[in-house]
Amino acid sequence: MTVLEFELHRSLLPAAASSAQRAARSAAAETRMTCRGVDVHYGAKQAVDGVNLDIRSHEVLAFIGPSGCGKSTLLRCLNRMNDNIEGCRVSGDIRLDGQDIHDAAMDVVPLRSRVGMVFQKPNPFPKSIYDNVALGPRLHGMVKTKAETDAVVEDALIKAGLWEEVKDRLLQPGTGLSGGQQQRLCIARTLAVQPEIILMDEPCSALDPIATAWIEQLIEQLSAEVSIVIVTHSMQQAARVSHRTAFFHLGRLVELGSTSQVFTKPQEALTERYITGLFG
Amino acid sequence: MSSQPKHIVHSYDEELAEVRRQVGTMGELVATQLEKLMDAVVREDSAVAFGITKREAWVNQLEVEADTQIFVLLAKRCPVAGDLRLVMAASKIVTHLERAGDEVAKAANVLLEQFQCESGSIPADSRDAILETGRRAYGVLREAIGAFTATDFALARRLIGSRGSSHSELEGSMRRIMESVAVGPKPLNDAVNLILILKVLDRLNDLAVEIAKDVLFLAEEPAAAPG
Repeated sequence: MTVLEFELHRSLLPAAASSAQRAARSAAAETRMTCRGVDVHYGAKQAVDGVNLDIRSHEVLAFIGPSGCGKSTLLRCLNRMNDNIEGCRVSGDIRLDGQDIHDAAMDVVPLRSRVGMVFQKPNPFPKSIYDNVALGPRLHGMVKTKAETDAVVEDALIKAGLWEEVKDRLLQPGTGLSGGQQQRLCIARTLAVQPEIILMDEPCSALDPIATAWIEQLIEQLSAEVSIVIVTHSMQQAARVSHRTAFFHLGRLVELGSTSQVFTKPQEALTERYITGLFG
Repeated sequence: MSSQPKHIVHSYDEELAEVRRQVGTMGELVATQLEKLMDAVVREDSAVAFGITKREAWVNQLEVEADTQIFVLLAKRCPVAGDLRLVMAASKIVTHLERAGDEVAKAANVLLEQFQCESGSIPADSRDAILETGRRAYGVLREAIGAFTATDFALARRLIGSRGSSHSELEGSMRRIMESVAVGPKPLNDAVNLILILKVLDRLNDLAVEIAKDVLFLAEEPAAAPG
């Protein structure tokens, strides 16, 4: 075996096997969220066109595609963030554990605690690190005492991989943290309300490689407890962190498959051209 | 007729083309080495055989250069899908060609030993068998390299499918050599050398077929299971 073959075996094959195992686990998992015939219009312009897909428990599902393909728009449909956008019209059927999220009986506030969101740019509240995490559980009535709140804050910060770095300065402003720490604080804030699904819209696009690695490690750990849907422009990030990958183009879902399949042998020529950077 | 799609980043196309070119160059050198081996057999020329053993270092050098190019490309470009299959196929083919180069040099060394032994030559019947096996291996090797550089899947499939018949012909040639030892006229040492050369040439044929299988890997198409 040549040095190159050894390196390839060492670097690629274990990762491929691990990815295949994760994909198999994902396939066996139950469906948490379903989208059927989802269309989104901004005024007269259609941004999402008849999308059907399922989100499974404990999976990381990556949305990839060129800018304007509708991936972030679809992501925001999943916890009705688009409700706040003027002129945005969502149709089709989106269900969380079988319940229509647009049903009159569905309160959007608990929906957004069950389906949390982490944005492209870290957006901590102008409050202390502690309060950033404690605010959600307090608003949702999940904690009653100081001791309960302390426990929730500590647990969320531990899960977000931030506890050791901030445990001695919990009362300092969250905005004083580095970009990567702020993003993990936002993840801790999301985790504090015990979500079942976390939506991440390019969560690492403003971060350096080390901070990105921390977030990716976190995504891997969190998938044991929650489902994660991540929008990313980084093909390598999608390949590294996700179990399944969905490729969107011009508002349509072109291909959805296991990440190892999409990145080694995509079924659609359009997917291949996009992920390999081909044109013509 | 539409042209082949190009990468948005032009230098990526150039690097992939360079990998193809390096594999082609290495294949050309190994095929030339094999051609020289046949030349040495026909002319019973020690100098030609010795030249093959010296040029083996060139094959190894090309392997190092191709490996380096592939390694850097993997690190820089993180290829996926068809690009990844191309790079992986190139890596496997480079390994097969390096082994093929080793095999040709091994045969040249055996040939040199044969020229130095008591008979100092190759019996006519054995020479014919060696030339036939060698030319077949040379043809398959050239075609396999051509299948890679031209991405010719039909040719690769044909090469893989044609492998079975040459095995039985080789067995026949080896049996005849052993029989000639048994009835007396051929020294045992000669027979061993001739069989070693035949085995090397057959191994070259096998390696060429492995290269053809690597070409099919480009299409993610499994080669037919043996048997």
